[in-house]
Amino acid sequence: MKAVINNKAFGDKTIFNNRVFHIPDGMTTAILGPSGRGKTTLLRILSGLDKDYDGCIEGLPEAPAILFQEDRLLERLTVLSNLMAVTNDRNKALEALKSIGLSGEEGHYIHELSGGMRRRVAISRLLLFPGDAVFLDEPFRGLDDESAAVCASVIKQYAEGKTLLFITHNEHDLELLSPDKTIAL
Amino acid sequence: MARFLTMASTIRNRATKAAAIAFWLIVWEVSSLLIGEEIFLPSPLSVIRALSVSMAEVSFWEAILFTLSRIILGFVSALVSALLLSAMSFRWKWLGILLDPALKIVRATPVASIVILILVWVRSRNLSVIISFMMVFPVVYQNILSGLRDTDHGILEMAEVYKIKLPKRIRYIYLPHLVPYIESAISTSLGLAWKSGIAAEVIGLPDGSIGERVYEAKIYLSMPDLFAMTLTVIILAFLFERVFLALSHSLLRRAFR
Repeated sequence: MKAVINNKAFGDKTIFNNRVFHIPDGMTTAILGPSGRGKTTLLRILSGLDKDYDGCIEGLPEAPAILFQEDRLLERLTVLSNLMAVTNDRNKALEALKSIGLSGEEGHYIHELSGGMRRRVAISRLLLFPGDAVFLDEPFRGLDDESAAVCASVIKQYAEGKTLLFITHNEHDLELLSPDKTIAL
Repeated sequence: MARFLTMASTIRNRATKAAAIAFWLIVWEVSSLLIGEEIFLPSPLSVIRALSVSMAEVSFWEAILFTLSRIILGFVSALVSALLLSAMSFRWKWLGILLDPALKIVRATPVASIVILILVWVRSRNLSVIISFMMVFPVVYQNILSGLRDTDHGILEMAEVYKIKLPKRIRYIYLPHLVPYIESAISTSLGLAWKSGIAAEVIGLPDGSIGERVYEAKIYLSMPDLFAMTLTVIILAFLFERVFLALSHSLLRRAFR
């Protein structure tokens, strides 16, 4: 994938000016940088969510699986209902929960969960979507080391053979997902 | 301990509410005694007496059934059609623009004017169905449309990314999000349905209705009966609201679990 961004701005504030990004197909790429450098904006452009910029992208994925920075869960529903919204297969949903250590939590409402558990529910939802590329925005936000390691292993398995792009400000995340390429912003 | 504290707090709340009711009953009794004329203000006791006399008559229960069934019909049909039309207006903006002036007119027009106009077109027997429908529909429609417009854009973007189809979006995103809006609309409009429905009956005088009994009480200057019928309507509206809210609450929560 190649993204040429001539200009991307929010009002008077320019985020990218004449930048070119190469994302190798079928490999893992990390975008690393401190807050406020436009990491999320870049992920949104590369995944096709943000089209409001001057430039072009070659090889835009058709059905990207995206893990948003905010969990974007359905607060009034249970864990299982959140997953059933993206799949019709109950067993698959339960399997996804089991794979990240949330077995037995399917009946809880989202508002009853801790931040880390919510993140893991968002990750299990990602696992159920058959995307052709994977985009992760601060994937291990709010997770303890042990949970982050489990989630990283499951994500790597899910993204095998697909383009995986993740953004982070945390160097520890690089160790967990061992990217083939790192772009510093 | 926490349970005990919650129980104590509930008992305290109930006692405070009971004391407030008792206070107003005393004010009523004292005012009635001071005025000393049942025709102006009957005492609570004579109202209770009039109510118990009415309750012994079959026609009283028939009147309740007559009015209750029509108000429920008007209310439920307004609820269902408002739900459908607000969803359609959300989907097709032009429909919302088209409906807007009509709804504004209905909301601003006095109930009495609408009742008299409707009486020209329909039999008085079904008047309260139409009037309660017309009073409830704009409130529910507006509430639900606001709810739909307030749907979290982040969630809708997530639904787009995960290619969640419309039936699932309705079931998992829109309807659970709308639950508080629907409940608030029900709570607000139930009182309106009763007030407007009874007002329509008092003007249209359908045979065997609560409105007709209220009108007769006024004609014969039987204030205890007028108060008794009013008390009946208040109790019915209160019970109806409780039952309907509990039903809708349990149905909606169970459907989206």
